[in-house]
Amino acid sequence: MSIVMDKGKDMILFNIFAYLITGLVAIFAIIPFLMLVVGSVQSEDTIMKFGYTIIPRELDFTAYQYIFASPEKILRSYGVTLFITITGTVLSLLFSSMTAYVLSRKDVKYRNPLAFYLFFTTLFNGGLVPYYLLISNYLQLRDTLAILVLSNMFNVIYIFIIRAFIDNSLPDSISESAKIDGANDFVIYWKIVLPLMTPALASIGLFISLGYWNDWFTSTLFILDEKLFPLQYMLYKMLTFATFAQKILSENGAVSAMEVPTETMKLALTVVATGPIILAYPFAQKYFIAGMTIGAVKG
Amino acid sequence: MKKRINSSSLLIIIMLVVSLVLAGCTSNNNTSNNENAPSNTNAPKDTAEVTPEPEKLEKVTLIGYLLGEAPPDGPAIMAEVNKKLEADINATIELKYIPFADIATKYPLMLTTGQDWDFIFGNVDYASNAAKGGYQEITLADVEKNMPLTFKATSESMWADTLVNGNIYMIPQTFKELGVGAHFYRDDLRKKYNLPEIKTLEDFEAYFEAVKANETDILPVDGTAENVSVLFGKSLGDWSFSKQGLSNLVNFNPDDPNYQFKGLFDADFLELYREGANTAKRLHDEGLLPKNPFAQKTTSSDLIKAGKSAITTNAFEQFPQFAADFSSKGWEVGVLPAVTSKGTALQRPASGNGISFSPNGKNYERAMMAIDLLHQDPSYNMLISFGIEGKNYVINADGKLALGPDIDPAKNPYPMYGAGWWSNNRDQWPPLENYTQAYIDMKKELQANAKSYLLDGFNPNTESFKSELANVTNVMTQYELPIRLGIVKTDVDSAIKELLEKLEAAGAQKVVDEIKKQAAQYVKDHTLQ
Amino acid sequence: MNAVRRRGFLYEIKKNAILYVMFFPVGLYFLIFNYIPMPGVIVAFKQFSYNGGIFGSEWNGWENFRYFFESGKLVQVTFNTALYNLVFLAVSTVLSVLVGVLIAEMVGKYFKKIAQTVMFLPYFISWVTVSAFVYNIFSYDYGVLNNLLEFLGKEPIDIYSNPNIWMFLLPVFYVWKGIGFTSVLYLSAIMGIDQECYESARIDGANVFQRVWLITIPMLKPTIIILLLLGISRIMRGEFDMFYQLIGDNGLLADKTDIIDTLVFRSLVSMNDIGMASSAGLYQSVLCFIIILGANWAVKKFNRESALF
Repeated sequence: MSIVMDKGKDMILFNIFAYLITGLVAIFAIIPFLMLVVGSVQSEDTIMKFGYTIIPRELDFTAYQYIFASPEKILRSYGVTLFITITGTVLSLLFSSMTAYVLSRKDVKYRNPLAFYLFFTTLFNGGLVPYYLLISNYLQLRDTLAILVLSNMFNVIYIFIIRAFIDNSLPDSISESAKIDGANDFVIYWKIVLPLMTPALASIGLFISLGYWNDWFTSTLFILDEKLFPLQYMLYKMLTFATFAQKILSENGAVSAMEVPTETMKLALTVVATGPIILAYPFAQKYFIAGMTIGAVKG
Repeated sequence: MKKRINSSSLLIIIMLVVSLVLAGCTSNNNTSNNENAPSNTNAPKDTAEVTPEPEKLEKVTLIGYLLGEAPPDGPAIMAEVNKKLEADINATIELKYIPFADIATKYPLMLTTGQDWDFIFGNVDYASNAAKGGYQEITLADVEKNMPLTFKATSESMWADTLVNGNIYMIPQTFKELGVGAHFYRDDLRKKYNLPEIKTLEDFEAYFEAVKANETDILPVDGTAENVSVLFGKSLGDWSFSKQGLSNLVNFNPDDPNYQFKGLFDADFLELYREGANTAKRLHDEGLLPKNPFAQKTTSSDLIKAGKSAITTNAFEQFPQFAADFSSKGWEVGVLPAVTSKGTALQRPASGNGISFSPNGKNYERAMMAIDLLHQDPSYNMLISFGIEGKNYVINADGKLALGPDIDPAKNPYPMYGAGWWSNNRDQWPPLENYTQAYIDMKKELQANAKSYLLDGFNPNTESFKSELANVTNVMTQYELPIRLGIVKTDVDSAIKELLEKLEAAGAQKVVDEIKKQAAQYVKDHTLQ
Repeated sequence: MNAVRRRGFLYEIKKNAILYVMFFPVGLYFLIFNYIPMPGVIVAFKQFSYNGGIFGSEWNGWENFRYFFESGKLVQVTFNTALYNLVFLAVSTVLSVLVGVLIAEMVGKYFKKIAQTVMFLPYFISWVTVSAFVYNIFSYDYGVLNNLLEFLGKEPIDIYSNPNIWMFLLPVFYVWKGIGFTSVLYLSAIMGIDQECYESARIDGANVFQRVWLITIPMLKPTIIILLLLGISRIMRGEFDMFYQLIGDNGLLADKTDIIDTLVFRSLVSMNDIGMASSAGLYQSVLCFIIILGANWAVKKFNRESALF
């Protein structure tokens, strides 16, 4: 709705209401995050003594120094994460939307059984043990970048959401008329459906990439090689190692000179992990917030 | 439209290239590192105590899993170890680590495959993993043949601690380790308010009251529910000792020669418990115990170090750490170890640390030989525990062990216990430089009175009552833990009544009976010789 | 008969060959990564041992389910799980649609962009951190709330021993954390609506409220139904992380805040038993399966095109 010309009474009323509600939600959303960012630059002692606030009492970067103690590790894990996120998102989005298009075509006779075939996997799963054996013993994908991309590559729920978007915004007539013009189904998908789906693909792509970005569990199972650690796993391991190591040390009578700031580190880790996403967010956002006129593409 | 797509795909390509470069260039440096270990051919021939094998052993690489993460100097030290091992038994070790946070998921999966590894740190759910066939069964004949040093160093009772269904699945630690908990408190505050030395719960109560009345920033007791609830043990006296997870259902008394378990279903124990529950409620109502320990995620040891709590309960071995932390803030540490009224201290079961072998490993015998050297040969033992002499550590004039001259203690590249080797013989180590005299003295006294107690090392086979056990665990958390914390809705008697009813319904009687039965058999088997 | 059907199948495959080929990669993926390991569910009926593995271990019938069925809490936690999830689903759908509609229609390019970005932030804060913040506010002994009450001369309140407050707080936290996520879906659905509809409505003199009510909401209906159905298909799977971090082992709140996942965790925390751990999961799966079949059937009766399958 970028071209609003009419500022009638209804629009004024609507906007007052809209600003009030969204503003309120936004405030509730931002305050805890501010607490988190501010907390990450406090010393451990300050957090313990005074709790979390949005006004910093001091500036103390101990937690960040701890995280970036070996910057090349963090840098490399950023690289790994960036690679799997981009490759994974592009591939997943491509095949998910392709599948969703097939499921949306009313003239595909077996579309409901196919949909059920996919959906069934969200209900039942064989558990960790067979999955682990499959990946590590049969597919031999342990300690590879491939498994980081492949594990949880497709989310059936997203495929269904994309299908709903296609059903919603693409009249069947478009596919039919293109078919009469002699285009084959893949060309229709590639040339017509995909471009019309930009807002949906942007939002689902955002979800997929967040999934990749935040995934540490796949690494827990399949990655032992530090060179292949994605960022979230690297950070998660850093935090847990710090706390456990200190516990084990002192329970065995060793004195450690390392004081690990665990509370502030938890906060700083979130900042380090989310920073890049928040910076990249506007690129995705413009597709689902600015709106686009379907007519323009059609014509 | 077209333009927009182009710009974003360009962005994606650029990011891809950047990420590839980031991931790629750093991985280059590392490939060269890996080849260091095996390429060392001119290893100095050690004159080891091990008698050389009559026939030349085929060269093997053993894969071992420890817990934690390799410290920065880990690879260099393992290279040194491998040099020695290659000369002695023609084997090298490739060490891998299961990160602490992933133990719960990854460890069972390692046992599930049973492949790709030769030895593993043994004490993770040891009894149940062993019962399910996760580890290779070890015979004493094999130990005698392949592990001469270990065979000599391990006593009958140490092997007994590792028994699961009558079989051995672990090479246990052979050193005496205290299994003693202790309350640590602020001795400076105690002195400030002229209170007598703390020995009993009443002394603690007076101390808490003084803290509450005078120190506005400090809660007398603060911490997680688990932290706060251990204080309850003080009320149970000699019967406060229990196996983890079943506290107050099957407790034992280390001075009891009859090896009995007692718990909530025994009338005399129940009386003790009721008294303790009333005390806890009183302390809670007086505001000496925290109101919301369930929601508190910060541990009491972190809180006391930040000056927010006046007591914490931890392993006695944390004494040196607390002493160092407190004195850096100008405080003094007070410590009350959990011993019986006769002064008996518990020694940890030998299965506390140990190494187990893969049931499908091809190099079982060679892994045994390697572990024998690592555990019991002083030159290996010192190497994996403290690193390279002269570099990582030095022995000072008093014969005490100190960090190497170039080591920054805050960034120690090979911190003590940091490499996951925990079961090697600590009795061979020299004392550490930074131990305080108070700690050394108290430890000596505790060790003099320390004994391992049969019931402490006993591992019940839970297979026949696992459903009941699961439900009992749940009932204990929901209904028993609040009582120990002093948080009861109405009065103590009805809370205990409700607890007993719920326990009854969950089948606790069966659990207790079965454990007692198995324990009696275990005791019989081990006291007859 | 048979011959006709077979010709029908081949004919269909041939006619839509390209479409079936387009489905193939994802179909194959799920075959490999989900269907091949799926027989592993039988471990719920086995006494798992490492030497037997999943298929070689001994069968033990319903033994692994016994703890769960005999806990005396089966009905309560099943009910709690379903009820909480229904409330979560309802509240978050209403609010997400509302926020989506508001952001789509409101003026102020920068404000709405920023507000929309900001709403995403809670998604990144882990429940552990949330619980630390919440404790910081609600702690009886030194929480911000009670300090404030004390300052105002009022009695302190103990939030952590009052289950009724949590029945209200938990949905609030759930929605707070997820609103950025779900509202984006509705927002992009709105953006996919053909703008010509709005243009003609405007020309007909419809005001903004009428446009929202008469065009946006009806156009969103299929999306809402699909998302509700997808939500219902997970109705028996609890938000473990949230409940565990915010409530933990708090016995005082357990009766009203215990869900299947927390009960199972509490019971099995020291058990190390794969069979028992998967039995409750299978129970959840079967319930979800039955419920979603029912829901899908109902939707199909009333609107064929909105059903999942």
